Amino acid sequence: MFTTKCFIRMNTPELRAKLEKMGYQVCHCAEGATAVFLMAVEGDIHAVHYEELDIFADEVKSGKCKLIDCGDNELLFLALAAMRDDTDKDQYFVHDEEIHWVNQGAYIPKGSLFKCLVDKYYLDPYNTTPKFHRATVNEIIDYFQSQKS
Amino acid sequence: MREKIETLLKAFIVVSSAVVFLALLSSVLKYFLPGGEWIVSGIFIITGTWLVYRAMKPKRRYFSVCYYVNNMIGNVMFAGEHYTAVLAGKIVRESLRDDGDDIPDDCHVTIISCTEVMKKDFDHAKQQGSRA
Repeated sequence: MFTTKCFIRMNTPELRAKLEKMGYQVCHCAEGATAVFLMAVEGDIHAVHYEELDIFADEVKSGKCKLIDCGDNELLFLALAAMRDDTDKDQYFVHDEEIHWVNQGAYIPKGSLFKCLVDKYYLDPYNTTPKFHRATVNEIIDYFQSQKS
Repeated sequence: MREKIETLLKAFIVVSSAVVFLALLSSVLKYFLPGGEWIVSGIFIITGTWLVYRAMKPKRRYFSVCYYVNNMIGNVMFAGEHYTAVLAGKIVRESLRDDGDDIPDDCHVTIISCTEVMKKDFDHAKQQGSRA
């Protein structure tokens, strides 16, 4: 089940296709020419239309709107919208320890985020895999905002 | 060592059984169908060709590869005659591209592990449609 409500200040067919692939139900309201923003709410995608922009902006400013503002950062929006509690697929994790695979020429500093592409990502019984934890909303926001700047 | 002896004994039993079976077949054919040796020769050729073909044909093996690329951890399964890190890297890139990720050819793929799996596990994973 999707856990994070958020919105993005853009709307493209490619973005809607990605959300649909992720498992969201894209409402017909998102396909109209006046649909400018997209909102991800509990498994559904709805749009904010051009004529509603002022009201929506007021709600965001006053804090009445509980959705996380992703600006026009598509990667951040997709990462937040993908957050769910029933799978590890497409979820972000944070390395709790530094990884240095010398033979592979790979160095991953502590605190870096990685995306999991499998359904279940768990520690093996011998505890040989590096330590990590599921990224929180704030960690994801910080990561993508630092990537953008 | 014990496994080798067991395999050798099994091979001996199979070959002996085949020779006894064919000798018996040959005798029966000679009794009921005089001049039917060509049938036995035919059976010999067909069976021998099939056995040699089975022994010589490339063996299909199944691999499960766990990888790290572009801050993503995933798993991909593939079937082939052999495993190399270069081949696995190529398969990982293709798999990610199929899923819509833009991965350049020179992008470094770290292979965390590669395990040979059984065909039934491979088929099951493919049925589940997992990329892991």
